[in-house]
Amino acid sequence: MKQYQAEIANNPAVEMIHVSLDRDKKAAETWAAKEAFPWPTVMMDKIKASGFEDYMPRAVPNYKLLSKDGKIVAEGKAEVFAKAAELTKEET
Amino acid sequence: MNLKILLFAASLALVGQGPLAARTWTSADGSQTFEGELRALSERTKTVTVLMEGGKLRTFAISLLSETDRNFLKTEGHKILLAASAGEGADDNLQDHKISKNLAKEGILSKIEGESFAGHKLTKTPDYYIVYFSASW
Repeated sequence: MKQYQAEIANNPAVEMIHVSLDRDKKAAETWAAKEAFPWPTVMMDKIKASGFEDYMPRAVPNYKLLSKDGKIVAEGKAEVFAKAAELTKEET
Repeated sequence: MNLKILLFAASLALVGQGPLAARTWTSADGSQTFEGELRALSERTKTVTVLMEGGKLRTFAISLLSETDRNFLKTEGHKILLAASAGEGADDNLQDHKISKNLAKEGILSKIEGESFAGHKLTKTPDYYIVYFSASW
């Protein structure tokens, strides 16, 4: 959460999207409310329409950095945040 | 491109932009007022997005607003958004890119507001997306 607030929230060149794999919407909602998630979420029943079905991981949590055209640029939390910072350094 | 799509795309592109129509908004029952700038309007979901004082974007049902505000949105809302979008580059159009095109569809994104999820629209036109897959379990 701190990393999101520091590096992503006010960075216009990158956005973080949470894809919830909770089948139980109430469980997802309770968790998000408890943690006060600041990022947009795609719920389980919207994954196909969101296009993220093509990027589904084998296990969670999983982080991927995608270009706006859908190319996977990095994977894994540390690598994703580092690459995002590197790629958007001049734009922030 | 039909007019509705053009208006929707224009309003999305404007969400993160500069001052548009700053005004005092009033709740439907007249008990509350707030200052804010019109940033987006959706006829399909009947919602309006306003940039509040302090910089926070809020999207809420048009029905929560006073009759005066509803009339303002009906008669002036799209005109203001279209006028303000004149000259905006096509590169900023969310419809032009694979990821944002899907995320800009109505009902795809939500965001926690208080204890429940509410509809949400992208407030950026980013070059990159960190996609965080997870679950509460």
